[in-house]
Amino acid sequence: MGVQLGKTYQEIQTGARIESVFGDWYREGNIVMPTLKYQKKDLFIKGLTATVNANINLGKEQNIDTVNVRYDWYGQAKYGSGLGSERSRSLYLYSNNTGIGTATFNYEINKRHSVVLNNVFTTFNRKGSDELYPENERYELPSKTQKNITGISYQYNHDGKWSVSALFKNYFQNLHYTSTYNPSGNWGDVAYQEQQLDYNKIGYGVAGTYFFTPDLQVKASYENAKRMPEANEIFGDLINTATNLDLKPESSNNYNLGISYLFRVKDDHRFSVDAVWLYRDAHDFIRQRLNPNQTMYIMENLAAVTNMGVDGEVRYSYRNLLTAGASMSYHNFRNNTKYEAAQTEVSLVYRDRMPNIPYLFGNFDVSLFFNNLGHNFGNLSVGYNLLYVNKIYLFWPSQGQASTKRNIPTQLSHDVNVVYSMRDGQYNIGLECKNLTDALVYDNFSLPKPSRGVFLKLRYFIQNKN
Amino acid sequence: MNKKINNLHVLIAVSALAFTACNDETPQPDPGLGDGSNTRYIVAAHPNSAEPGTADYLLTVDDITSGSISTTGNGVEQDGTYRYYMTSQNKFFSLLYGQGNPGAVTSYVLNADGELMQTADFVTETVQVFAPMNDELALIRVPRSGNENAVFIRIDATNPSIKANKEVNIVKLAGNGERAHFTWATQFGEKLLAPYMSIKGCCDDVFGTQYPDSTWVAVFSYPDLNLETVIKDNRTSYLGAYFKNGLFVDENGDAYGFSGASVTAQQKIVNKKPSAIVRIKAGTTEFDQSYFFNFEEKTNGYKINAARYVGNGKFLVQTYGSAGTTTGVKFTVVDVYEQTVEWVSGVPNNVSSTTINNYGAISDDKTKAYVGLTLESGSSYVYEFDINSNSAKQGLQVQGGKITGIHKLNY
Repeated sequence: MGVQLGKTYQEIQTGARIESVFGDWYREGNIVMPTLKYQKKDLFIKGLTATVNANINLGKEQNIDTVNVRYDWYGQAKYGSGLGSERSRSLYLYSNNTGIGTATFNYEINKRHSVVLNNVFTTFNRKGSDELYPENERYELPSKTQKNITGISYQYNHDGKWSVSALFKNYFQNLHYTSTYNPSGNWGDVAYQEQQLDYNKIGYGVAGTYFFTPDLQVKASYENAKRMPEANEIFGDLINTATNLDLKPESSNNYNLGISYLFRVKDDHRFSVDAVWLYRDAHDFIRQRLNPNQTMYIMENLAAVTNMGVDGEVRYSYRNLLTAGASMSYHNFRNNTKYEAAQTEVSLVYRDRMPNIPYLFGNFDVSLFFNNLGHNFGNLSVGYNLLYVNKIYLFWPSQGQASTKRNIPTQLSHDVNVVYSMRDGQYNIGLECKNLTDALVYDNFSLPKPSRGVFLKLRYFIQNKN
Repeated sequence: MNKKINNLHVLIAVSALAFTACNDETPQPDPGLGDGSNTRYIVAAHPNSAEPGTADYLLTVDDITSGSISTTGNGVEQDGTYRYYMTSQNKFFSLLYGQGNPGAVTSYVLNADGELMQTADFVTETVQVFAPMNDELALIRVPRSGNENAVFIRIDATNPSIKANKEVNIVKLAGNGERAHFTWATQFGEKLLAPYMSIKGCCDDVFGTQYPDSTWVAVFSYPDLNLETVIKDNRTSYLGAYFKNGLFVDENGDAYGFSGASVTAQQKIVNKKPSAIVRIKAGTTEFDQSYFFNFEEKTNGYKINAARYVGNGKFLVQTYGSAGTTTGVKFTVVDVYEQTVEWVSGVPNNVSSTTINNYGAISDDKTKAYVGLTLESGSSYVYEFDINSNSAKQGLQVQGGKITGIHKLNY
């Protein structure tokens, strides 16, 4: 058993887009998180391992937006008179009470048969009040969700030559929320109504793998999967994710086919090659998009989306001196919604590529290891990592004249790191530079990410782990 | 002057931070501006499907009375759909409604080839009133609750940039314990008239009111924006509506005010006074008590939804599907001089939305008004309303799109 304690302070600098600038809005809070970990091997019977993990955050947070000001990117402030805010006047003090409990029972019946039973329970209960609006009943009403996902899987492993597995999952989600309605039909009139909603879904899948030789493996799987929305996706995060109480679980059929091959050249040069083909047919696809005024994100369901994709990876190592690898992915997400609700004409963006989702990306890494630099001089490693994401569009790619479209340009960033350790890792010094060339990198909605950063990490083990 | 420099900084910052796809294109020679002898229409539309996650596109066409166009591969992409459009000084303005967050103003002209060319892009407050005033735009941010100050923003329409801001306390202005919520603003001689509705602005009933049967127009001097007086009347309700102009000036300089008188509570219309048209004579600051055009009585119970001035005393007025209701779409041609109402023929009966409020072009001879009608099937059409024959004719189709504005510029 343990407890994690912390304090947080976060300045909110922008909305979802860089055009909305904030300077005085912030959020602060504390973390009080009791944790429980339990593991037992050979519980009751030989071969049964039980693992239980649980934690809940009982800390509170406060969202503070009380300065009536508009900033620009030069830090110039234009103050307004009277009470106001940068986005929405708030002193909201609340707690999300986010908790998670997982239990896994792993039973190896014998060398060939094994069964895993897994249960994940999550809970979210946002409660709070705002001293600025003591009368506002909205804050007294519930924003609660509980999820429970139970999975059972069975695996048959034929002496390492081939294996098959099957899984079955039950997904349950309860939402207890407050919806607003308009009792009079008058613009702006608001009343609140408590609502309960249950989703009960099942999912299942099969997977198989076969080793032609110990170095050549093929894999295939199928899964009917569900994605239950996260609490923050439904209730918002009170910063830049808006509430969407209508967000439904996503369901998808997923097909994967993969091959991996290991080989050596003259013993010292080892290679591995992995390739995966995947196809996903999703309904009520949960996607992130900008809200209509572009200043927040909102999660929404899109009726049908498909993705046919390939992932490839090649890795190489030379003795204990060098490792290198490169991977590349192409994920062809397409809008498969032919008719929007209640319309009889084919959607203009039917089969269009999904905006705001990278579809071509990859990375390359290389590390050099200098071990045992003489007596007591420890180990040194030098690494380099390259990230690549191809250009994507901010809005639907097919719409509008190409030269006028907003996009998130192709991104290429380089990270380097040096790690030096002594006395079998008792002393560690790590120096890392992220985004070495200070390239412009963005999120999927064109908000710039931090520029070049240098990180120094010092670590010392009081007791040598050996 | 200092303010101007600041705005220039903002402009540069925004152009540097907003990455358009221009870097992929080879620079075209600038064709310059035309001599102004040609006319082109700008039709703003977005894909009707996946509507909330898309952007508006500005399509340019020579003729809006026939043909078909689509936003697929066409049109100048706007930053999202919460854009509102107007023209002034032969410039096209696209304004972001930021819902309390920063708004934006993007302006365009037509170049000698008749193509839209961006001339400015800068950040402002979020506004819901925008009115041409001499060679400026008067924008107003009107808070519906919380802060008691509306912010007037003067934009230079010739060289688009912010000229000045001014706060007006709207609780003091209302003087009845509620808020004066400006519905729109209209240039009236050298003054700016801002009709308003009285709203509670609080208490889970933000747009509710104790005063549904009064009419108010705040009179501001320009460019100082000092409140000079409030013109009041009790024969009908407030003029215009949230985001909807209800005050128009004719060729004689007289202003005609349109009131829907359709304030609802518990799904019922609570107005005791009828939907009607009132007048402010040129040069005066009072309602003309000798003039009262009772639209509701003339139509046996229909209420005004929105109005557009076409010319020579004639207005295109959008009303509702049947008497006493506030749903459905029908059109009438109203002559405010003769006080007559004529029903318009040729309008389809499955209209889901229209661009009647503020977002439509008028023909040069002031006999035709162009309105975008989006049908329930998904397509939008420009309809040409002829105010002499009281008929509507289907024109340009925007396939699978929703028209959000129709404007025209010369080049």
